[in-house]
Amino acid sequence: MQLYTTLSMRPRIQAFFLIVIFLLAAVTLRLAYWQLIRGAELRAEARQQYSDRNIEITKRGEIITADNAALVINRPVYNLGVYLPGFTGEVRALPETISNLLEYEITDPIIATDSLRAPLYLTELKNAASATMSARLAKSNGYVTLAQNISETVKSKIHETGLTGLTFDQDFTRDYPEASLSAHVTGFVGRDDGGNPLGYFGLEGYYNRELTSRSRIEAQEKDALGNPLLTGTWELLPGRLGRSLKLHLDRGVQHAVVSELAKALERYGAASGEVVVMDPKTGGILAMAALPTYDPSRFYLYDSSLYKNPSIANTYEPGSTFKVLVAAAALNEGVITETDQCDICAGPVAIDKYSIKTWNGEYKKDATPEDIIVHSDNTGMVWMQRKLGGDKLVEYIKNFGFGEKTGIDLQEEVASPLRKKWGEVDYATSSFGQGIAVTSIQMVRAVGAIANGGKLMEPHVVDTVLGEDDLPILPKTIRTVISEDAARRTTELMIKAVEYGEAKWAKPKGYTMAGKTGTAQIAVSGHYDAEKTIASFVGFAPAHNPRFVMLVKLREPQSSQWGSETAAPLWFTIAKRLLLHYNIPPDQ
Amino acid sequence: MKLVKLFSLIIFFLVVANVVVANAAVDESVEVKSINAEITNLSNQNIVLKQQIAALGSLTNIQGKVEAMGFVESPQIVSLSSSSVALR
Repeated sequence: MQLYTTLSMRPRIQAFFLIVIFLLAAVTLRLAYWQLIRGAELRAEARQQYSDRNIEITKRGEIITADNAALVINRPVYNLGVYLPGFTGEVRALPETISNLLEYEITDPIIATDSLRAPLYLTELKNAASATMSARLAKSNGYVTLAQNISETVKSKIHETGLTGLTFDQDFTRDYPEASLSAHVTGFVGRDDGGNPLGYFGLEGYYNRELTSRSRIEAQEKDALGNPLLTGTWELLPGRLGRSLKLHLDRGVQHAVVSELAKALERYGAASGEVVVMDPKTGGILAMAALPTYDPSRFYLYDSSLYKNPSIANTYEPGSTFKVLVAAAALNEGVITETDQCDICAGPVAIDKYSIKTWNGEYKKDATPEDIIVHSDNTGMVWMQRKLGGDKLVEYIKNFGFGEKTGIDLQEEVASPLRKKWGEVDYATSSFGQGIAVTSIQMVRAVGAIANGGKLMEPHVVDTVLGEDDLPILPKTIRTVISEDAARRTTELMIKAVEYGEAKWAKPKGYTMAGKTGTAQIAVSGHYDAEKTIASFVGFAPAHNPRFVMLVKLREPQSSQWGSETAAPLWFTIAKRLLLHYNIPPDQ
Repeated sequence: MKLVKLFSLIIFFLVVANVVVANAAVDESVEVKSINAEITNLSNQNIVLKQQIAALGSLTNIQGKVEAMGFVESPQIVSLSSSSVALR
């Protein structure tokens, strides 16, 4: 009997044991699932419940002018969202309520100015916003983003509705108090592939690392009501404000330059125009403007060809403005003196199959260097170049900084390399600024060397990088190109060019100014277009103690193709305003 | 034995102190949260004010207002040399 009982219990015990084993295995597997497979996710969820993670977006650095005016600042914007489990209102009515409070912008100027179409278009925009919100709400039961980049004003209006469960995540966007006044200098801020802010072009592009901020992240344990637990754990990843830039650029000078350039484009019917103003002693850029321009806060509405700063990104043939540099080289080498006379200036100069002529067909036998510069005599420049020699000409062209980047602190600078093989005609045409490609900033810097006693400076837009420790950007002399004596004598030639040259009628009375006009034909498909020119004027003032060196350039002026009748009067008009701005009294 | 009693007493007082401090800290945490919110709010107001000042003080804005008030640019600037200025 005992044996029977033992035998009959064993299978039951075994079965029970197996069941226990099976249940234990199930529990173990389940635990493994929760801890190994879902572990990371659950830990994160738990952390979210007891820990408050606060990400504070910090501001990108600002850009301020030399006179402490804000050129680029930050404006707070908010991304509006709703956490549906915490929302107590009517979800269906939410899109309409919010869309009625949002601000809409009509980007098309034709519609914006049409009193009939504008209200209809605004209604369309509002309906579209409402439909987008409804679609997003229908897809989710948790957090839903309703609108992005809403302003402080709209945020206040939404607050006033008393709706609970709405969230406002703060971000910053760029704001330009002076609108497009300095768009080509500042550049703009877009987004990179990861959606993070990234500077493009100009200062925003060049100084992106300095301007970029780092968000402050704070994680702290919280109680059931969401209040921080001061005795709990606390972690902080400190943020960093973006460094700001203080420029050499003066707001008053920039404004004067832009307004005069705009008037000149209209007056002379030019396709585009540029003005660069630099302090020759430091290389600081006092103003830099190009028209047409774009609005950096709405850069996406403009053709991308407008983004690049033409003064540093486009090359042109400088024409007669280049003559002063060749004259400076010849004076520095001592191969000519002011009393020397040109022995090939009586008529056109033949080189190979080419004939070098003067711009007006008039020839002056025995012309002195002064005559050559004052009357912008091409044959006289060939004489100077021959005195200087081909190799020396190329050496000086390089020393004046052509063929290399100037090192200006703007992103999109280019430099056209100099030709490798030079022929006799290349030397000749380069002496009067044809057949050589330069940028406006290169030209300003080279003439700035004459104004600065022969010292070639590195141009800079930024004066100081402001941050925890301010970092001043000190003036940098690249090299001494010509002697002080040669610079002074070249200046005298340039003063004569202003006093007696083709543009003498436009010069303001009372001031001694040094300058040179230039009219270069534009090369189209390998040939020069007789009708299309680039009119320019480069010079500095006051001539004997220059406060600024300035280049004015007008592309395809319609009223006259000559620099003396278009660019020169504009140069003198701006110069007059700048001299007044800097409180420089007349010296004559 | 005395030493054990002493340590027990210290531990007891430390536990009590911890509870008291933690309790006080919880009260203060509400204040900290409110102060943080106030700081954020004031910072934002500062930024908005700075933006408004910059917009109102911009040369573009001032030029528009000056022109609307009827001011015009002086066509002629007269410079006085030092000899032509009465010193007394």
